[in-house]
Amino acid sequence: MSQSFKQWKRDGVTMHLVPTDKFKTTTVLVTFSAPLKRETITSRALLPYIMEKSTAAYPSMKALREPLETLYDAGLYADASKFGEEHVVSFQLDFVRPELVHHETLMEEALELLEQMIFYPDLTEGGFREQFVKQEKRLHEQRIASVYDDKMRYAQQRLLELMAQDEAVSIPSLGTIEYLKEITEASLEDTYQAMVGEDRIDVFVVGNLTEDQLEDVMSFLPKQDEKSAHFIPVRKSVAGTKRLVESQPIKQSKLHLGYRVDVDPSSADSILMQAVNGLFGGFPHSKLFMNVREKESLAYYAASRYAALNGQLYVYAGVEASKAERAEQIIGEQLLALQRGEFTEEELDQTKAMLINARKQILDQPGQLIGWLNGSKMRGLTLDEEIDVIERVTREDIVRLAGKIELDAVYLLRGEE
Amino acid sequence: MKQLAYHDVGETLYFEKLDNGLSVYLLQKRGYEKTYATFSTRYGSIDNRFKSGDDFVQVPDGIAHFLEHKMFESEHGDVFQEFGKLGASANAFTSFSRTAYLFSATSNIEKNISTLIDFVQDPYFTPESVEKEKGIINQEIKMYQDNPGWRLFFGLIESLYAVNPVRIDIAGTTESIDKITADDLYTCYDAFYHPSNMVLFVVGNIDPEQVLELVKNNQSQKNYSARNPVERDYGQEPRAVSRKRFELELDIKTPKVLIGYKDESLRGEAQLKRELTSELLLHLLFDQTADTYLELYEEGLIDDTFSFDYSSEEEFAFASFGMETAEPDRFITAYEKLLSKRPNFKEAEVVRKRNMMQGKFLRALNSPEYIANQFSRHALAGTNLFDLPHLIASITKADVEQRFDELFVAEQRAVSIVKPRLNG
Repeated sequence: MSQSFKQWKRDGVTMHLVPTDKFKTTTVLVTFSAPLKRETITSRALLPYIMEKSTAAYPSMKALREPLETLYDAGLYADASKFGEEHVVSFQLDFVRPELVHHETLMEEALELLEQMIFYPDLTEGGFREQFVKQEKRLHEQRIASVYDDKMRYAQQRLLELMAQDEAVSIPSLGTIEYLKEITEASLEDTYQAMVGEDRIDVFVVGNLTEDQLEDVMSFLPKQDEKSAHFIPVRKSVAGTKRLVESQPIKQSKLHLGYRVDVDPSSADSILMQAVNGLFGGFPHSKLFMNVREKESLAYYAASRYAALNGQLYVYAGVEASKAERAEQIIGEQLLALQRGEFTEEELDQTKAMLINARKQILDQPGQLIGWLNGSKMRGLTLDEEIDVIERVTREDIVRLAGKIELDAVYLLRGEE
Repeated sequence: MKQLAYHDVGETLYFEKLDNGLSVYLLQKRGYEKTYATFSTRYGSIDNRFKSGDDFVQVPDGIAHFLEHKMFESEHGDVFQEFGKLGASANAFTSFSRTAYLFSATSNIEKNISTLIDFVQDPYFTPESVEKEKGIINQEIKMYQDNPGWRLFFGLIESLYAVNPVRIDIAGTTESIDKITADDLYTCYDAFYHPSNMVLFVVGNIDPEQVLELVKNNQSQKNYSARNPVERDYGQEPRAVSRKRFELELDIKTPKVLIGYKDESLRGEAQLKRELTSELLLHLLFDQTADTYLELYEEGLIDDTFSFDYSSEEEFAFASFGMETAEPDRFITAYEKLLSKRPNFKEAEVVRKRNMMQGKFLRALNSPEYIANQFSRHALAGTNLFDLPHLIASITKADVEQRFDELFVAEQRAVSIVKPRLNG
């Protein structure tokens, strides 16, 4: 690999640049990060839906979207997400390289629209435009309700609540109906002003640009004081396994297990933990896939996911209601096997190869590159260094880290049919 | 080996048709870490009746998908593991008209390509392993049964089509897959997995000469004789829909509605132009920039859950659109009215949409997966993905108007609704 990564501060804003000409597009992401709070998340989750509808200069969806279509399907979107104990509102712009469509000023025209969306929103005297706020509140209510219709997502939300009701990580990413009802045109403007005024700003760019060019085209960003990330590694000790069973008239039961992982997300151990997760249930050769799905035919899917920032690991399985107990037992046995070092060199080598493969592939997708930059900044390792860490994982590492995984909660959404 | 340069998109494609009929396409992506390969056969869920020997045979529904699952089991074990040992991820999917096997990898590229070709060309089914697979596929069928979007979609296709097997769920049903035997799998395999019915596509930072040499050597060691295309029977589909309306109650909170218009499907480049024109038409009607969008938005008749699609394969084509709404019938009535009369499209709008579609296509070329999957889909249907830029450029306002008149005909329309259970 020879891809270079640049990172520097410009008036308090952190700039991240991946200069490359291998893509047909240039991608720009501007993020606003604040501590995750139950009181603000609903409003911050709703805000991007309204901000991407119109701006002061382009006061309707039609007015805003027409120039983007003319600029060869330039994408301009706002979004919100949870990131560990932070809440992030982001604005993404991507556009095809001007020379491919013989449109020389394409980049400047596209960035102008990004600036308008972030810094010149469609505000009236009373706050954001009533028409959009009313519609989007209604839609957001539907969005919150529709988590119930996506059974896997619903089961995962219930598991998080069961595991950590009073911790920030269990706050639903869309917010709650109660807070939604309180939102007004004016309160949303307050949320917006707080975001642009107080949040930490990061800029991520993947494309055929130099550092000087980037500073030049992003000169519309405000100056701000140095702000650091709010990462508070959470570790609540497990006092016995919590259990909850709920029933719904669905055909396939969802078994979700939540574990606590006592590993600092900014340490190299959090990379080694990905190898543990890979062996456990991260890949088709993993213990869960081989034993729960293949050997016992207990489930259509059985997999695990490590959420480093939350200090948690989850196992998901889609099972027949009558087989849930047996599946849980076998899942437990697989973890125990890892903790005892019962896995082959071949399984370990394969896991390393898959993790390295996945890391290299990050370089082939602008969105993934940005995601990796964002997720890895607290570890302070380069992609090559991370690959090196994975290459050197030993059997002892796996046993040591598997010992830091502790079952906290079991949630079963039982099918009635 | 033919070398085809597509300057307008900055890509060069290498092609050769081997003696046994296999089409090999290679695309070099400099600077990419990943190599992605697909090995696809023109065989999908709709191919459930075909000529085997002198007679037509009818095979159980869902068998193409079942066969795809079983291909991953070789005499020596699980093929996933073989790829895993090589640091690659393998996968496969079955659609209405195609089955594709694929891998992505950043190392051991040549060995991975051989593994891909060899496992797909080495069927191994036993009665025991077929029985065991039924448990896994039944779970998959159940998972789809719980997916409201999937039920909505098949509710619509069953309504649009009376005869064409596109109306049958790709995975089949618990009852249909229960009938599948190892012999059935061999019958289907022999009919559809001949190299002349298949396309190999490799994209990545590869040396095309070297990869072609490898594939040629591999194929020359296997004894495939020339073969005529298999005759397939999809029945005679009438022009009108099979039923106007479908409703289903599920354990959900918000109803979903989908409206479909059955279209006539053409062949080759004519169908590709028709597909692109239909897409442009749907964008004109339903994008946020449409004249009617704001009105629909304020009425709650269009929002972020609204989506539209034009699905087109050789044997069927239809347009569909829908969304989540508390009032499906109000939605249906409003769109019937909206589409009863052709709006006055403006030249400038058509130009803007052409720009948009050109840009969309260019952006998609960032993705090796898109290139391999879409190129193979087109190649198996006798069209070329890289013809998209000039075909998009050729779409006129008159083309779009004609498309509107052909597509939005009341007899070709059906609706599908999933809604919450009343007592739930």
